[in-house]
Amino acid sequence: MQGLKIKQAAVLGAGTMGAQIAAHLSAAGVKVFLLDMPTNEEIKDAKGNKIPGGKSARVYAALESLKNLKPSPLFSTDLLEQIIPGNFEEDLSVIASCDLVLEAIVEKLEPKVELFNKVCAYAKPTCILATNTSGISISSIAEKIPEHFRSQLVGIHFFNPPRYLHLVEIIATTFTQKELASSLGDWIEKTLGKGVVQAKDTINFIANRIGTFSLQYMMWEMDKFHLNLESVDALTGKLIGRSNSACFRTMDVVGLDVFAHVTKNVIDHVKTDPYYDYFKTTPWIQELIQNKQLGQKTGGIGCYKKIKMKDGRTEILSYRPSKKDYENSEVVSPSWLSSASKIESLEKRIQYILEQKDEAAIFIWKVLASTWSYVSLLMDEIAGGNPKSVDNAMKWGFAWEEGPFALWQKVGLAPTLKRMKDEGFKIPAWLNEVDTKTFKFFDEENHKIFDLKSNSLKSVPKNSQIIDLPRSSEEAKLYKNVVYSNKAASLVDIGDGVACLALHSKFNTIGEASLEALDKTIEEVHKNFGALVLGTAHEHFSAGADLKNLSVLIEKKSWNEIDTLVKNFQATLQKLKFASFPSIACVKGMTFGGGCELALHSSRQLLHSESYCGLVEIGVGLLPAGGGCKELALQAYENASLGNADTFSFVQSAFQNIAMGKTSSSSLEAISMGLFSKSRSRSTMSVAHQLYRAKMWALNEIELGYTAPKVQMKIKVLGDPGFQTLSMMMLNMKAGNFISEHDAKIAGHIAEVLCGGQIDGGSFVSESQFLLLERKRFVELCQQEKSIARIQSMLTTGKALRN
Amino acid sequence: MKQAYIISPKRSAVTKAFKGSFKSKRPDDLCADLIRGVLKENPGIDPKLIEDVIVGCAMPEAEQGMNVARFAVLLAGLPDNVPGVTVNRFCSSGLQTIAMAAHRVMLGDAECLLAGGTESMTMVPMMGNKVVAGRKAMEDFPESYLGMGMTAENVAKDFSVSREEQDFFSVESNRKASHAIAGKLFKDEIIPIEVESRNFNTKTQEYDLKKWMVDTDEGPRSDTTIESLAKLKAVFKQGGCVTAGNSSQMSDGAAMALVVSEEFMRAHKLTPMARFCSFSVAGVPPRIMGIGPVEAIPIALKKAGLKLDQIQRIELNEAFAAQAIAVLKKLNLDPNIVNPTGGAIALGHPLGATGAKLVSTLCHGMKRDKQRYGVVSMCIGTGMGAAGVFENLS
Repeated sequence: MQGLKIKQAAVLGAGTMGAQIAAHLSAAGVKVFLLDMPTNEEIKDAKGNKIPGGKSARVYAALESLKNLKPSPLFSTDLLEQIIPGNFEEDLSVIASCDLVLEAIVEKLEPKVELFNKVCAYAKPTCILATNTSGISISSIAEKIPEHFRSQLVGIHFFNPPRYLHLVEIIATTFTQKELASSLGDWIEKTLGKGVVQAKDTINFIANRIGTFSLQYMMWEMDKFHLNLESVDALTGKLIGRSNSACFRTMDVVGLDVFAHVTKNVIDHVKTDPYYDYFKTTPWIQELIQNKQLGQKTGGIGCYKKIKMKDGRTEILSYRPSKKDYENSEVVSPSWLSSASKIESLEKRIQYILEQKDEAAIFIWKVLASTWSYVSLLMDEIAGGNPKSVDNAMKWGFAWEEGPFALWQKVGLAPTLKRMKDEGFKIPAWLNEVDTKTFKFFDEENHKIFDLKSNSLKSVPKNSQIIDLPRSSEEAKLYKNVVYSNKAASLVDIGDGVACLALHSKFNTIGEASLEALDKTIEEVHKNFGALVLGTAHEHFSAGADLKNLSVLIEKKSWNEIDTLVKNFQATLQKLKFASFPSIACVKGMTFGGGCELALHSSRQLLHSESYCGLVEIGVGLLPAGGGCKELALQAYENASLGNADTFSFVQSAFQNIAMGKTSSSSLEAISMGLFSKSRSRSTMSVAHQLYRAKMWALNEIELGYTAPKVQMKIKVLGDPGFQTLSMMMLNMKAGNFISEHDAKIAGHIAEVLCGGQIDGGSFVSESQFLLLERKRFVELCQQEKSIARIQSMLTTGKALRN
Repeated sequence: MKQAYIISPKRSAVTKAFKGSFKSKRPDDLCADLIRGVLKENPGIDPKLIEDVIVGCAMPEAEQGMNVARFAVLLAGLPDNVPGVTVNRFCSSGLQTIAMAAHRVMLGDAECLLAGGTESMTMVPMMGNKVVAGRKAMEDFPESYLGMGMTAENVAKDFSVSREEQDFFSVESNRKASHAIAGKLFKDEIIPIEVESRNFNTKTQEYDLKKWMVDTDEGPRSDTTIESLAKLKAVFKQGGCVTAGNSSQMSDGAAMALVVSEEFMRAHKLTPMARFCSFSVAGVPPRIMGIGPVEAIPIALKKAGLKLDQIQRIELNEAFAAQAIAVLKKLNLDPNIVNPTGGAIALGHPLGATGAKLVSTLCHGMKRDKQRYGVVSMCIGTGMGAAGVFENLS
């Protein structure tokens, strides 16, 4: 089943998960029907207005409520209109046209079976049936539906919130058609951009089984180490490479009752679990559940309690099981903690902690050892003996920095395994037999993964659509296809005549080294390649220009040098823009300031759906001077000239983007707010395939006869009348205390640049006029005390100062 | 000097901009309907005798551009000889036109005129479709470019008007207006207007033309409470006090009246509603434009030879509760005689039509309550105030 085609889908059940999954499918371009039980009585919204939709009102209400969820499940609110609401009574016939039916109704076997049987009456034979259950055996559903469809049924387990949690577990049963799970997995990865893990049909699948075990283990063991809950959280979060919310903060977010429901599943159904007793809910959590102190959803009262102080601050108290009350937080602080926190590498940090002998360090050891014991015991049963599946599930579903197996290998199998055996941790027989000095779960260099069935390392075929890039200059040395490399970026030959500039400075800030690399790249691509892709293996495309270097120059009052620096930045980006080859920027994550300008000067932008872009220089007291103002101005004048529109409104919207430092919350928003041009940018949901797609786009551009854009010599600008009018708006913003005096000053400069200067209205200027004004005003702002204070604040606290 | 008389001061209902019944009604059509309505009440007048039609409009462009007065004359089907002129002094335009007509009559320059105003805030935004600030104005008196809401914040601050006072005032405005509508008090002053809506019916694949009559103000909310208003956020200033709930509404509407001489009145056996006594307009600092009536009202009273205590009814345009309260305090006005049937916060403020609309409401109110002297007054953008004094004759 090569290249699954899913064009239409029905999501059954418009609860939080169902509605959000529908939104995600819709964002990926799938036509989605969202159905739920029919409603016979009227439903009213918060304002008391009747919700339309007749018997489907429940679905209308669910879609409407997606607008208020935070963080937003919607890449764009327009997408809601694309979802077609319906109900099980009147609209099940739409299923006939669906390629996928995904059920997300109440977590009970009987209703699920009943609904699937109704669905089967309408579904076409090739329709894939899926359930989003997190606790019910998929086989038990399969057994009770018509025979033909048993082979079409799989579990697709999304995590909440589906937009933001990367993991999707796919669960095939013994009935499931061969290859369905893997082709569906490919489709989900490519089209929905999720990280897919193939799991066995066992209770709670992979991530929840292991994740809840580890937290339950902490809860049962903490007393032995005299740790209160805030200390457990301090020791088991980022410090050991797990999610920031660690143990009890996670419980509060998930809801204590929901969490207990998940662990009870193991108690009810897996009596053979090697750590069975740990899945029992501790007495004090039981009490909190009985008292309806469930966490976030019960007014922030659960393991922790948020209270509002008189001065408006919120204080967080922690639960004391012995006193049955909340008290001020008191976190343990072992002597090794501060030196451990400074160790950047996770495995070295853990090695260091494991050398310590106090209670806190031994607790951490126990938490890690029990996890390693548990995953090695269960790996066959829940993940078919594939350690990579377990690792990915924990990384993507529980935000662990490293998967348990990879971490174990890095920390060192030999010493840890010995200590585990000495302390009586359960170890599977196969692991007892391996030579711990040479054994590996992963052999990255040779693309091999340990396979339990054959008890050997097995080659994993390389996916040709996943392009790897070096994450640092050290890593670049290991790449055979690196053409050029410095500390900030490496130029990689990604085949077929396409080169890729991989950014890898800290936060991918754009500094002298990045510009040098870009310069070199342009030269190199001209000589030896047909096209360029700009990307990064890191999470964010670029946090912006390098402020550190700038602040040094400001301190030295080297205004001329700053001028030269900006001039070089502008010149290099102009070279990129006017190069004869196409360049595609793979925008993703944070793409701010100078990083955004780099993307703007590429000929095309391929944005990952999670792109947070903005020309946010005003936050550090500056204006975009790497051609950012210029590019937005050019787009505004170009768009205005297309129709018979008033130029001012286009310039005004560019002005608002820059002067308010607006950032997008998704790729679609980055395009709709006018940061990137509709005709030159595209959005993709799969970050894993982004570079490959950019490469294909680049090749396509060459094929279609790419030519460099024309240098614009005669742009009819708004000039002074436009500047005055934007200033008038600033006047009102300032009078209303919406912006500070200094904001107004910077905004004034931005207005001036966008209008082409304070010159006669309707004058003609060339591109260089914008660049010159940008640069002049930038250098002036660098000399302003308040701008300097803003830069310093960003460098020292990472926060924007409003002064 | 001769006397000028107001005959049939009529208005349309006032509807909410963008969502009300007049959202597709052009302001020239609306004005024409008013002209026809006023003349229909006075069948004794030969339309040829109307010497000019003076129409106020605050943003005279686009649908209400092209000298909207002359277009309204033509649309109303008046003879070709009847001229039309558009006049703009922002929110006082509709009062200004009545004063201009009255002044011509008083001079003996004309016998019979139509005057009033029209505005569609749905179709033409405040400040017009194209806003361009001037360099010299920005340098020399930038405060003339402050938004109206911001000037209301300034007034609230300078004249110590609290948020609570403003919200209370606004609840009262809604209460009085709702009460007046329920009691059908506006029935005599409103000319019902026919509106139509065109839609494509996908079932029949034909155009559906829907027509209906509009005769009731759509702005007031009888369920407005102090609590509901207290929840609203300040719009124009962070931490400010001027909200959507204590500001006037954006509206569509029109109003017209006949202004004639005594001789004309007698000859055509017309029944006057009021005598025009005086008009004044005066400037104030643009940053506190809302205080305009404080300057204008005393001047108008002086011209009319009246004392404030002789005034029994005042229609004071509620641009913002903040400025209306400041005017009340500053002039020591009796709140019981100001806007007894509600004001613009509840009923809406169709900018250029408002002056004539308030003359209509004042005249009918004085008739109902058998009062003798009344005042119409409003503040005006860029810092002015206008006032007109009228004597009830019916």
